[in-house]
Amino acid sequence: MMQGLIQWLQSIPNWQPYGEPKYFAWLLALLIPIVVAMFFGRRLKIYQSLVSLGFIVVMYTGASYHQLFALVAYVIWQTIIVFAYHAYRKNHDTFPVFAGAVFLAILPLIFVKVTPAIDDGNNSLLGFLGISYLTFRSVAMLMEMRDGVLKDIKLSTFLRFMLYMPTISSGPIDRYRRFEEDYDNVPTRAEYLDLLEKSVWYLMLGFFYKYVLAYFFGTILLVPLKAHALAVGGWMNWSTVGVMYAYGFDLFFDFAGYSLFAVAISYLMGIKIPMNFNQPFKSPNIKDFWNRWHISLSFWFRDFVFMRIVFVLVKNKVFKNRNVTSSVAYILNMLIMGFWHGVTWYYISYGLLHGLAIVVNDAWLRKKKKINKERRLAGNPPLPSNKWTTALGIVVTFQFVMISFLLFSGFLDQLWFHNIK
Amino acid sequence: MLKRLALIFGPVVVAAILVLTVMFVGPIDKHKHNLANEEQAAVSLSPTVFRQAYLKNMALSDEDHRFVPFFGSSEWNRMDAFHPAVLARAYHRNYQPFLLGQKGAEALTQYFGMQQIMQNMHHKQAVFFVSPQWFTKADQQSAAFQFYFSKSQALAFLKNQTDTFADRYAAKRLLATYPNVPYRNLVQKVADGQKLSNLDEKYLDFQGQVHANEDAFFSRFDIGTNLKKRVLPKVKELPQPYNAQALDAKAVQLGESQTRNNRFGILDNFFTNRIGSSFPSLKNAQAHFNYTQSAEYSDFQLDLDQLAKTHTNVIFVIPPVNSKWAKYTGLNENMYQASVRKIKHQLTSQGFNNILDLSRRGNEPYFMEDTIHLGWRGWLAFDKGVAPFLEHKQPAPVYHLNNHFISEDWNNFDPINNDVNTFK
Amino acid sequence: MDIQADLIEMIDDLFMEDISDIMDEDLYNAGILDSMGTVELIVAMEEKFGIKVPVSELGRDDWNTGNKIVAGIKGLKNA
Repeated sequence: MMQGLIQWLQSIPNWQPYGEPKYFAWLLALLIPIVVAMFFGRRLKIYQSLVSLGFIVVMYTGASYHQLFALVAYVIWQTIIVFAYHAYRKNHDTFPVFAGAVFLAILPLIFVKVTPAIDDGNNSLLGFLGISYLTFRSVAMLMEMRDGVLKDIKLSTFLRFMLYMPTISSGPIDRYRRFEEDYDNVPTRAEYLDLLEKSVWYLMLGFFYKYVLAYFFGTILLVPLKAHALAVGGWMNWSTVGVMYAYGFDLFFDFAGYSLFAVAISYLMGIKIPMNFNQPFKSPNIKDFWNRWHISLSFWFRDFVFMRIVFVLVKNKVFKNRNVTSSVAYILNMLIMGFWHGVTWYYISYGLLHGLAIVVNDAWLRKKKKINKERRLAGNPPLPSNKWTTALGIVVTFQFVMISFLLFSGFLDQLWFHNIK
Repeated sequence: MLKRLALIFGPVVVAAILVLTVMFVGPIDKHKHNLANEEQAAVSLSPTVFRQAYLKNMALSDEDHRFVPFFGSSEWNRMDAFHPAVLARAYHRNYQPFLLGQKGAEALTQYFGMQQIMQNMHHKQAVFFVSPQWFTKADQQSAAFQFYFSKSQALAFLKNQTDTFADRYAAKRLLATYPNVPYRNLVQKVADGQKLSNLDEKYLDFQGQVHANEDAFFSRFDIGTNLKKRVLPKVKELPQPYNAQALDAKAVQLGESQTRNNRFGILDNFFTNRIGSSFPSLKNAQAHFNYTQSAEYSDFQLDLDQLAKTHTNVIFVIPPVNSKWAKYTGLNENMYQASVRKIKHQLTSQGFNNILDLSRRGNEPYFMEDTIHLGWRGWLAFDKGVAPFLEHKQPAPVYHLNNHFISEDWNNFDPINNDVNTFK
Repeated sequence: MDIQADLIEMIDDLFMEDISDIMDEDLYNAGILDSMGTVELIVAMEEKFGIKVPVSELGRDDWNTGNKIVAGIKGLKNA
């Protein structure tokens, strides 16, 4: 019976989310009833769940069928933890239990992230596409329950939230309370028309990003540049500089394109999940960059990592100087983000590099504030702040980000340590 | 309300109609010949031209201009003044080469490429440049194969196959080198010797039509600039009228002036950029190379099978390696010649008797442009053998295929210690 | 005890910014509060008013102006 199920799963073709035209054709066709019902002010809850489930299953069929089992086991695990903690939190609130619940919730993710580092690049059997993003959702719930702001949870909504099809593989990362509110309410017709309009625009923009621009940078430019850079070899060469920019743009257009699809499909279902990108290459400084790049992730880290670290440090008066406090918290925060990407030297140093950059950026902002205050007291005009200084900031930030992406890409690892000619 | 909906979905509907039009109707001029495009495509060596069917068929079916398919790999990209495309143009030959080959392309890639142009190969001629370097022990690079493989090739293969021994073998090889190949289920059916159903055939026709229209639409965007930048300027450099001695003198002169920074007779640029700092580590680096036993021999038989099926009269060209370079890298000349013997036996024993064997001429000055590719006088030697074959009427060949050449026996046959003629 | 006066003084102490004239302005947009400052404010409020303000309560939509924070503190004190 199990054998039969496995064979059946293996025989179904595997469809990655937003991977090919056929995927969109089927998805949009099956969404038509939902859209029509939404237009008339109704949410087809059961139909929507069935369609979502179908598309989730085909993500994990074919050769990666074992991921489906990992997903099911994972969701059961998280459900037990979240609901057990919820029951506990009604009458009690102690730190060890809370910490234990969070630890258990991220334990599968830790296994999945650490396994390749210690087991020669092999993937953990617990892993499945999207495990990080599901973990973010459940951990945020635990934290909000501890804070006492999340009091009522429903099993059906919880499962829908965890397994929300449009965002299951790579976000954007939604929050339970926001999701529940959207899910329980149907937008008015005027609101829904706005959503439809945005959805169409995002889909088209997403196609342009992912299938035109990301293809151009990631396939047409990046592949030959990489080959040439590896052929030339050495520590650094001009082609590697080309790889840096091509990869950076490919990363953005690929991920932003994907995120636009996720948002667009979600809007069709009347759920206003947050946007993930806001013109990141126009950031005038690195702090602002993280308000524009992979926004739902960086805000998640801000709310559930950074602010918690700062809270502990300030509350216990660990450091006298608030600037030391914030610097330590920034670096820890970005280091953890680096580890989350994967336990490799380049992800971790990518995190560290961004942590340091934010500290430097912060120090400069403080210094500027101080200088301007002094100048004001002395009756002088403040330091120049005009389109030229902004442009300079954008250029510097952009170059820094591109360098950090080259590190992030792992290409340097290949060039420096695994370049077999 | 309706106006709002129309504003939201109107542009999408219009765009969808345009896309569907391209898919089902295609560009209006898709059946027309366009000499400019044909000439560009023939020397473009762009991946699009190589992968897709439209431009190849447009040129090869042109009744007013004779394009001959030149199958091969990276050598076509050595476009000096004596490249076959330049000579054909400069001396107004009654043919023009249509170059089909790219770095990393080998027999299997050529086999699926031939499927696309099958209808334009019947009882025509072709040139096949077969390099012993294809026949490595390790299986051919599946990355290169996948890069040059296209849906259009898969569709053509599935439509053409008639469940022969070779068809089944080709399907198996396709699945092995490209596990996620388009239309995998149907390819699997062919590999298993199952007949495709009527529904399968209908589906293939439909896909084929959609794909042909897309191909006709997109092919016009990537035909390269080789003709203008690399061929036409060199046509002007050549002496007029044709004079073999003057050409040879010119080849020596050009070769001499471009091979000054090394003692191997390798193009200066190539030596600086492609060999460069790895030069010391290449000493004796090829001593273990072996081209005598390889799955490529069976793949090559697929090509022969296809050429026989279309009664194509082919001349095969076997290149040498740069002798001085081979000595430096330790490449075993006995092994090389043994692989040449094996290839030639596979050819002649089945009636493929037109062979231009240049394999022993790698020591002639200015014959090789770099380590393994013909240049200057090498191209002239190529021309001397190939041009008469193409320009003058040839007797129709008689092929008698032997399926035993698709076998592990043949792949593993050792031509160094055995007489190739003993293999039947 | 005047919560509003206490809050204004607290923000002046912490961030050297006087918000008495801009009680309805978004403190994040004005560059007075950021994530770091939010936590410092939370800790200070806990000590000053003896209330527990959860970090995830202080959202950027409902605790983002002087007046809203005052209202929030009052709400928590009465809870």
